[in-house]
Amino acid sequence: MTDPKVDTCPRDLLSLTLAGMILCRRNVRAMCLALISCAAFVAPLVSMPTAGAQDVDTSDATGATVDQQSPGTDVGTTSDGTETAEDVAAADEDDSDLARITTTFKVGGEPISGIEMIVSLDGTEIGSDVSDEDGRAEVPVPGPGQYEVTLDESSMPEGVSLKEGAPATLKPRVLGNNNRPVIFKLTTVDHSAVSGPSSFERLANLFASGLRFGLVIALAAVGLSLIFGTTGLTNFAHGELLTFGAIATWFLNADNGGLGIPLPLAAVGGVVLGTLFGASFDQFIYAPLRRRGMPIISQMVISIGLALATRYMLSVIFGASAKQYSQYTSQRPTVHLGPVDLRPKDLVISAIAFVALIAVGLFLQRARLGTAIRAVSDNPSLSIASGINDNRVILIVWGIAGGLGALAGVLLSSTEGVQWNMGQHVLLIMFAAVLLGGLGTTFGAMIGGIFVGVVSDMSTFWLDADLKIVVALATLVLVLLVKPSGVFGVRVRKA
Amino acid sequence: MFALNLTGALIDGLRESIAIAAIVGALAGIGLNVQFGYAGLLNFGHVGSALIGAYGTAIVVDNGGSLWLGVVVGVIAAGLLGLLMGLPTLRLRADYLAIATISVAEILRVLANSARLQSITGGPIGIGRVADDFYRINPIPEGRYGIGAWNYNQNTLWTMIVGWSLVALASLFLWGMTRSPWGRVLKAVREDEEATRSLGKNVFAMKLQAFITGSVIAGFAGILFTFDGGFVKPDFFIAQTTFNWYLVVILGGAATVLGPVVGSIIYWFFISVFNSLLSQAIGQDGWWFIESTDVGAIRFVLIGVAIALLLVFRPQGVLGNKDEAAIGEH
Repeated sequence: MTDPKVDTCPRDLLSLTLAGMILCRRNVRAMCLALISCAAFVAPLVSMPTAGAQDVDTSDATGATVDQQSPGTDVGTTSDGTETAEDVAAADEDDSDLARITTTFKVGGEPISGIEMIVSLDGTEIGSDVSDEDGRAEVPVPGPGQYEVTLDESSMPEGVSLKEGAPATLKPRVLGNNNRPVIFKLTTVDHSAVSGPSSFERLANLFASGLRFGLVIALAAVGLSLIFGTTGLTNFAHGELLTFGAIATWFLNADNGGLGIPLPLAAVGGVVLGTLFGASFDQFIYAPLRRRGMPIISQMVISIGLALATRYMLSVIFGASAKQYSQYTSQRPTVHLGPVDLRPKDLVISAIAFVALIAVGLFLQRARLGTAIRAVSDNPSLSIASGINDNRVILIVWGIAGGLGALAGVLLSSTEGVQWNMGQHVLLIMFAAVLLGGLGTTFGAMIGGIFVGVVSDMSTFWLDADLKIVVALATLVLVLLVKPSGVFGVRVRKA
Repeated sequence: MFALNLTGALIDGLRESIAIAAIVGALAGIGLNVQFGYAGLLNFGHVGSALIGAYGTAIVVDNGGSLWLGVVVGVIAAGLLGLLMGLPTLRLRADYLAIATISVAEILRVLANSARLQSITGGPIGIGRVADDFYRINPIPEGRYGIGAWNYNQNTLWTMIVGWSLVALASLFLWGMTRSPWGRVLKAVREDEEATRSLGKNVFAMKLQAFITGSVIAGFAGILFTFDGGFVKPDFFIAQTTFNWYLVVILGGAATVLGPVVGSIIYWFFISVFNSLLSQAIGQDGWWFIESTDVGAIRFVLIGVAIALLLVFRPQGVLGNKDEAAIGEH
């Protein structure tokens, strides 16, 4: 059972820790990779000082703030007219040291002014505030403690009310001198009763947003599936390929803190960097591990370590708060296709993802390299015997996966903002997509991705939005239990 | 470059290395060791069992039940989860099992966090005042106890005594198990499923038993976690926690009786020393591009790198046997 190669630790230690240097001597391509990967990390650092100033740190936000765990939550497209009052501007750096209880009253994206919020402590009123034209209200509080925040329902304008079952009194705990955002769930009464969209329209809109999300997931899942097909590795660090692409693009694009390149160009740059990033995973980590004959399950656990290290590295570089790209952030739904209202960017995102999927499909079916990739997936030994350089193919597959992941990351974050853990949030959804189609089958992954996206988004018609991920994961578990080889009937090529 | 208070950091490390977090890590690690170390099952949803244990207890207490009833319910619930999760998944391949179990744990966490179930689980805020009964029977009078770095208040000390007793019991159980015929068959399953089956052993039943045992121990770990402060929140039960426990097991040595205990102590010692030093180095104003709030993130970078490096260079950990620790070759 003892692997003779394991005993050569010192040599492998060198080759891993000094991978860059050694590989530079070995070939030029690796040197370029190393340089550019370094550049990808260093470029953002250079522009850090300005980036820091505008960040809002959400890392210590406590309690019932907006749930950031639910992936794919896109406030802009919730078409049922309800929306949580989100605290967009906990950012205010006030002169006074007093902590504040803040809120923003919004319904369907529209701020609502004139609503009164009353804050009291142990039954004594501390203060009150009426929301301004941005819907914001804030009350300074003397110190830490358990406060009661009450919404004066009589001050609410005609047609606006609390969501059914939502409390009018909240009890936030203020810690230290931190501002404490609170959320009142508001809805427009007439929206659902009189002029609101019909159930059919809501379902149609959910289908459209699910399709967009699914196409993006499919894009990323194809890379995951290709890696599994050619190497057998279940890559738990795949989410970080998305995050990397989105963050790299942000640093190229942002006016404040980045280089200010227009988003389409910046996205191209992000995809190129993502490709190199993906390839560097193979070049510096998995190729050496394969050479020393590490079991695939150990490689999988290593990919978890890698995911952690990369994710939190990115969080240190990028900051804990979500940020937007500089363009295309606040579009209104101006495109009407039958019952579906879309923002122009929804159409563009779906189209880009669709075209990219077709391109990948054609590449795999028609191109010489694509054929080589399929050959290595099918039968590694035979393909090596027929003269295919499998290590080169795997390197290219990692590059493709990195590029597709980066593209998916950019598309995802242009509706939902860039965040350091965005990739982690969709990792299990990608797994669901890949397993649905059957691990290692590219076209299965495409269809699986679209299916998971549509089903989980449409489930919000019946379920709360934060349970969307549960639907996706339940699909995954169900598939694994009923038909581990995937429901689309594609034969699994590898055992 | 920096004037670092090394003594202070070491004191932090020594104190935390045997504190409640380390006990929870050791106990959960022992459960994981049964599944992963001895039976070779790659359970990535271990934290789900701890969640069920903790919430089972908390919900009973929250609805007016006694803590002891709560503990019984929590532990049984964790065992049931092990059964329900194990029955359909244990026939799956290692990587499918990993994905299935991590998904189940995530589903449980999202449900505990969801607004829909807030009346039962408390949503993101969780449930408080769970361990009042536990502190009430604390025989230790109020005050601070200990020598040097190890200095705790009466409630922490009480929780630690109970916690370490649980760890000792679980380790004793593990020790007995590994020497029993059952333990030997379990290891045989890990080494070669087909060979074991050909000897007439019920491989699936062995795996299921190991899975449930591990799940029950994780349930205890989850309950113990709620005793530290007396509240339960969904935040703790993220997938990350499972991976921390993997690091604990691999660090100490998978498939060794004391591995998880040693691993947890070392893990918390280094994490605390590192945290302390890094906080001092970065200070309030930050250093270069690193801000004071990034200390936690850098800690996770370190954990990630440690997992990868351990698996590459010392998969057997501190105490382990290299042949036994090589996962995925069986």
